[in-house]
Amino acid sequence: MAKDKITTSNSKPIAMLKVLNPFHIWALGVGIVLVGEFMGWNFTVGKGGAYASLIACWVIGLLYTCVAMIDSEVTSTVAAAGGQYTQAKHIVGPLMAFNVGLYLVMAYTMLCAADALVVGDLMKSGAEVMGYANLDTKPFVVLTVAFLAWLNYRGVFATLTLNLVITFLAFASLIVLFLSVDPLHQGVVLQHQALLTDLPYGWIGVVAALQFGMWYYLGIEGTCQAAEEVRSAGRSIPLGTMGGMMTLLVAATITWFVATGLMPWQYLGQAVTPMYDAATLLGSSQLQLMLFVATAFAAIASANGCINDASRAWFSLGRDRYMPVFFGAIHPKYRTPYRSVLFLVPIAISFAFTGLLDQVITFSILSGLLGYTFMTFNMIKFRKMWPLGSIHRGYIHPFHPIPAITLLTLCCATYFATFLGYGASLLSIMAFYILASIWFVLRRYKFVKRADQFTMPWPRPKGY
Amino acid sequence: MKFWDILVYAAWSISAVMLVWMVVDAFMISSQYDEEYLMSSREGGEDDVVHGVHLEEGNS
Amino acid sequence: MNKNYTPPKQGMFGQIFDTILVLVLVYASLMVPLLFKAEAKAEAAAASASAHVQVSWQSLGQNEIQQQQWVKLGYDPEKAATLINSRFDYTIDPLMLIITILVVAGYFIFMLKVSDKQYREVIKEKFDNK
Repeated sequence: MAKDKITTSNSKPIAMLKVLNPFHIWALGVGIVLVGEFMGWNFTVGKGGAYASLIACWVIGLLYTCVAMIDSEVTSTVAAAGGQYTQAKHIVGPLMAFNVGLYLVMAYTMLCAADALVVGDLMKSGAEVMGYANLDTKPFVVLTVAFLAWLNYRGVFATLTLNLVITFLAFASLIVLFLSVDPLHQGVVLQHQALLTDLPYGWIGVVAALQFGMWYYLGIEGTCQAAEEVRSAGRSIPLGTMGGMMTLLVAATITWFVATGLMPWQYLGQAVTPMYDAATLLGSSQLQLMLFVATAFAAIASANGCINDASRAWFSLGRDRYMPVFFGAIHPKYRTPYRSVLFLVPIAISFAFTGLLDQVITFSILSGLLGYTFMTFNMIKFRKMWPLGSIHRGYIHPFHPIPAITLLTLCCATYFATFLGYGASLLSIMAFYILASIWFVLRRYKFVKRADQFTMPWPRPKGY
Repeated sequence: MKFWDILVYAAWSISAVMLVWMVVDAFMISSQYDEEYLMSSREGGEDDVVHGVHLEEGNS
Repeated sequence: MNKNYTPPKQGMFGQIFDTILVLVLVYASLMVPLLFKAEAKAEAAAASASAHVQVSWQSLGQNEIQQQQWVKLGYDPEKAATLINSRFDYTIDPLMLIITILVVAGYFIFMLKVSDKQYREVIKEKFDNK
């Protein structure tokens, strides 16, 4: 060691860079989710038929509108990397915060694994079209994760600017697809009269469809992970999130309309890449190529956003010593939580290689759902402990507590939907969170500095 | 077909290069900087965030 | 002044151990449902093997346009039959439902209770012991 190490004594504390704007937030939110319109949403059709899928799309759309409203208010006030995790720490308590942190890490890491798998499968079907059967998907799965981790490692601005471009292109391709099926004239290309059937499972199928209905929007709430890197978080995050929600409602409805007008529901309900199949049915090789690229872009954008969000959440857990403190480091040059990014790479790859795609997806969805359930009592406590006017809120959502109550009701319905058909997975995932909680209380919490967890310059909460 | 075989090898090697680069860089950083400095970030930042002021500052 | 709780520092070994433990838990919970699934799959396979009869688009209840789209997707009646005939079973086992409700509700109640206790400690240290 010839040179002295750089220490806190000779420089300012390290922090992430504040470089993002509302468009990046939109790209982060929509980018994670949009892949859901290219694959995954159609499992709702399998669970309850085409109409059930549309109902699920709108009902779950309402759930997410509540999520976006609630999240915007709390995030515009608690602006910190870690998002909902930091909110839980300030409003509900440490054990809840630990669980929320785990929900975020698990939901995003698993989703990232699923995205990488999609890229791999897509390369394989692309190779088949060009006359090379049985392409090994593994190198492309690894390359996707490695490249995106590398981008994330090197800085958030480039990462999310890339997301902005490819998300926009993927969204545009959905619009082009919609226009190319001659949407105003039934029977020419679209065959809704002949293809739409009655509800094959009756109304219980509609409820069951709610589970995968979450794919239409899962991950939009990840926008608040960027709170420490966005300029004027209080304004940008609500703007980016709400804008993203509107984009997704449009995209989801278009997707449903095009796909159900082209494919029998029994096929659609199990298709791996339904939008690519839709383009294939139209018989135009340009459209086919466009949807091939767009599906890949959507999957890459999603994996990218997931690495971004999962690493921020893991980093925050480490910074507060909920998880080993080692992960709480920030790169001095790129200002990213580089150790968390690096740590999650082998994990995402290993999830992708287990071959348990539906398990991984269910784990991801359920972790998201647990997070939304948390938001309901988080919101109610937040308004009670710091009534309006006692602290500065960047945004105040209307009609409180109706959104919170609606959200809780819809969450319960979605648990029930998961129970229908995926009951065993539901229980085993709950077992994971229960064991992790017990472990946290008995072993981890002793490493946490009590008062340091509360970092907001707020007055003492009412009732405590 | 040759093309796809080459592509598979290219994908493996590019991933390997990127992963190795990140691991090496992480080690370099640990040896150049003090652990305490790397951990010194604080939640919420300090300066320009909206929650920096709360309305009743001074009177309650 | 010095009433604040000072946590112990965790060594490198402990940090690695804790990280690995969480990972093991995750993998375990991913694998467990497979055990249940293996059973269900075996049953389904047995059922479909016994019900092997000649199928046509008519017996599958597909109208003309549906048939046409199936064909475009590269399916013949036999291949499509497996997709058309595989259905979810939504009969509700009341005991399982009750257990599931208790687990989910119990989890949240336990968590809110413990969190509240820990939170009061945090607030006390933050606002009382300055």
